[in-house]
Amino acid sequence: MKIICEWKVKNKYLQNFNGQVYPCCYLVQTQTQKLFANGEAIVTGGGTIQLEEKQEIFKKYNEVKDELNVFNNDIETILSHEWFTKTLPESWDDPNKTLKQCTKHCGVKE
Amino acid sequence: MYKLKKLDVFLEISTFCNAGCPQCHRTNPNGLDKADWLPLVNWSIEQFKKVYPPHKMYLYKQMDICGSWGDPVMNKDIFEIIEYITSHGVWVNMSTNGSIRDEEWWFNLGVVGGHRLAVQFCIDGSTQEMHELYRRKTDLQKILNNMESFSQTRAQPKVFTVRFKHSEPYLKDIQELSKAYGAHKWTGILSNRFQFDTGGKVFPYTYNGKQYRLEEVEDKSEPLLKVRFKDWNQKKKVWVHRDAAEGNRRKADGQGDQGPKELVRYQHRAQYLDKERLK
Repeated sequence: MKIICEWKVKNKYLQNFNGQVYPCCYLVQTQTQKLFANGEAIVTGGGTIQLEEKQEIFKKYNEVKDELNVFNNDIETILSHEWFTKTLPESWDDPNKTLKQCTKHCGVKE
Repeated sequence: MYKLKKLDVFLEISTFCNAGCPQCHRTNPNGLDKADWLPLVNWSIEQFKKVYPPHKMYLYKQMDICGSWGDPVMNKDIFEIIEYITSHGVWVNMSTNGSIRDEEWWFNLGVVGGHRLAVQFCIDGSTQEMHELYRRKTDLQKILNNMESFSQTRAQPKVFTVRFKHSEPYLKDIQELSKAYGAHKWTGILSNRFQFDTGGKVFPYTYNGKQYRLEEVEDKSEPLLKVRFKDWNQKKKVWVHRDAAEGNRRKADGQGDQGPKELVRYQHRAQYLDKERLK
């Protein structure tokens, strides 16, 4: 499975209401719920979300999240950050590291 | 990874919403209120300009104001924010339930946004009953009236429909209704939010103490449908240039050749421009 990031192709990113920058809307939902629901599993119209941190890429995002916030940094700095230029794109080459959201929404059979 | 020019940003600037759509991420399907954990946030125009200052607007081609957590039109400064963005030559694509504010407001927004502003109004049925089985707490006729008013400007009104089993046989009716009220384009997508709790197909929710259920469309061979209404521009429009303040004022004084409905709108617009000058 190859990942062709739909939003990357469009040169598009997401800025959340709390200033955090994400690569797309598919990743923002679990991350926002995780941040504000204090680690509890929660029910929304979008589904029940188990707020686990199994996915390595999210762990790395959360380690540097303050640097990826428009209230702390300008957008050029954020989009040039290692998480956007290296951590995330390199995860697409390793099926064990690829986020399930990336596979679900942007996975293309080779 | 990103080219630092011609960027497209998806903006979340409000977590307030007037609607209660059962499958929305902000909504608790048990009662259709806001999820308890979600904070109420509104960006002000001052905050927006600080994050997107004039000298950085050249980086952007388009700004999508959609709202995973709230409706952008609930933002108290949305008018000023859109005016600011479009005045810097950046395109805006906004999605809303459209059942907020009045026709005057929508007309003025269309004038200010001009051809760089597109708004997707969410219409999920050809009758109020059909529409509100998903788009709870909204009024179909109010949405249609707001869209018609907006369609009289150079901005682009579009319609977006989330498709369910109960509305699938009536898509043509929804398209006709959309076209009749000025939409240029209709898009219909299948809801993809059935997979979590019920194993697909059915989504139960509670509203005002009653149980309801949304059902998935059976034939999913066409998940995305689009219709462009080719003759939308044959309807006579009142096009007002965003900077045509003096012209507007002459018409508002009765020196122009506009009818009473347009006069009210021109006056409203002229008042807005006066306020801006006083700042």
